[in-house]
Amino acid sequence: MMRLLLALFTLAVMTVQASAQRLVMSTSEPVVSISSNFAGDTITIFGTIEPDIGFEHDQVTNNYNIVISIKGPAGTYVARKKTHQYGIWLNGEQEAFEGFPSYFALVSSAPLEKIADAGVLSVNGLAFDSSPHIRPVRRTQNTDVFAQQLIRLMKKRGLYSLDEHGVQFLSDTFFSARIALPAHVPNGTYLANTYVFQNGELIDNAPQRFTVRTVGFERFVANSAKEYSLIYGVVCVILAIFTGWLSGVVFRR
Amino acid sequence: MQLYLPIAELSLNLFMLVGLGGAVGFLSGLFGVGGGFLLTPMLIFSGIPAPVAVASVTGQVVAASTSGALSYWRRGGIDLKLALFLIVSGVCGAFLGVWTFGQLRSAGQLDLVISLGYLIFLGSIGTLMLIEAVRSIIKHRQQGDSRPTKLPGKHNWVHGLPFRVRFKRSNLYVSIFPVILIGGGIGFLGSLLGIGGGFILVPALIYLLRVPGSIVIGTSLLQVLAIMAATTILHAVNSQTVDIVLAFTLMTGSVIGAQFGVSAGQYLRGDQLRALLALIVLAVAVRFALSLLLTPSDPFSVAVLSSVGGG
Repeated sequence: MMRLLLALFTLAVMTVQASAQRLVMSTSEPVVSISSNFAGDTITIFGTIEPDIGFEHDQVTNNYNIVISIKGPAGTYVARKKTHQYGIWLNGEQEAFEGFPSYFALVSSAPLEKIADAGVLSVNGLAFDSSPHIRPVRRTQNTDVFAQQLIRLMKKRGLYSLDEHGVQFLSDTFFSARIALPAHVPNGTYLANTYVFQNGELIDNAPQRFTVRTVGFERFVANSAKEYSLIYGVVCVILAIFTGWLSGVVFRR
Repeated sequence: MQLYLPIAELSLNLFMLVGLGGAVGFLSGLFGVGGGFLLTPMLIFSGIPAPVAVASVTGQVVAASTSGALSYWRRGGIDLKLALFLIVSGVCGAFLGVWTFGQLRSAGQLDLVISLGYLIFLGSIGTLMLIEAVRSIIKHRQQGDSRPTKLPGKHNWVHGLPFRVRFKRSNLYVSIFPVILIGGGIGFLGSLLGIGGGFILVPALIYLLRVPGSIVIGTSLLQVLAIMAATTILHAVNSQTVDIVLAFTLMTGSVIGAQFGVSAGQYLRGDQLRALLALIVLAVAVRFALSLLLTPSDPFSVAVLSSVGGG
């Protein structure tokens, strides 16, 4: 609760909008910790739509719709298509995409097409294939097809998801959404962006960052592998030889 | 119970991993092979990224080879000089293999080469082994005794090559070229395909170099151990894809499974064992052949070129 109050206060100071309403929101966890028994996690995003300073509460009308986008750290992804050559199937064409989000969830309070026009959604990055996310390294005639396939594969892996009833209004102005992070979410900084729509128009948005990272032993292992890779490799070999030797001793082969 | 693998960055069931290691360990104890050729495809099938699977299995093969190599060492079943020649050439091959691995990965043809490599090598070795084993079984039936199959002659064309070196323990006087070629080839294939290569090395030593049966397993185990240890370090430095948690889980399962495999192996005759191993090797080869020949259910695949932000 303290965290919520703090977030409310911070955002109240930060958000200066011309409109009569403003959005305050926060996430349940600023850090999602991955430990040895991590099997995915659920993060809750909640917020409220407040009257702006100088406006009365009854000027805040209803009919709000919320769309939340959660994006994971971006990387260069490549989509490949198998083609039939020389009697076997092998990877033929491929298209690479830069700055492609490794995780992307869209959660909304209603079906997206009822909230706003596709154009409005796309400009704000509220579609998987909107231009901010699709940055082909080299644009060809097949780019769009490969982009769609890439998104489909990411959905299949559970890293891209769309939930059009994921945002619940607990009162006229207070909402919350639960977003599932699967066990194989990449580590890094995530950006949750909440957009408030009213009658098809965007009236406010607010970003919130949270971090997904390994902790404790897992973090130590991942860091060691990156920073002390030679020592890490040697330790792996010593561990393997020791395990093999121990089993020989224990079972007296 | 889920276990998070810090390098693969995903969770898998702990018992499934130990069980997988145990099953492969059982087979490796039964046949005296490392089992990498079974484990790597199974891990990839479980959803572990191919680079992590290949690199982590090399660590597992080290553990699986160690206990066997030690027991052969105690019995004097290792030709150190021959092993040294094989290891030095093998490490060179492994360097080349790890480099090729990286090149193919960025070119998007790693899957194809792994499939083709498995198909060609498992297919040919499996077929050869099966023919040999079946012949031996038939002969065994006809003669009714369990004499080991006699190799045709002590020498073949390989023994006519120049630069000969004497390997006392193996009672061999042979050119170093085939030795270096075999060692280097195994190192290259092992690091590229994530296999120990024992199942290729043993027949090569027996049929090409005529290494005596009492020496061949121990020597090949030592070679596999050294090459896989070097490959583990190379992969750790080059691509940082060795998952120590995954490797340790697999090796724990496999060293236990191997004990049962060794006991079970005592109830089967050598030729029957070889026939069985040949069938398993062929099954894996067929599995890869199907993936190349059948129309894929999903022609599209995705890969991450540059890793996403750390943290």
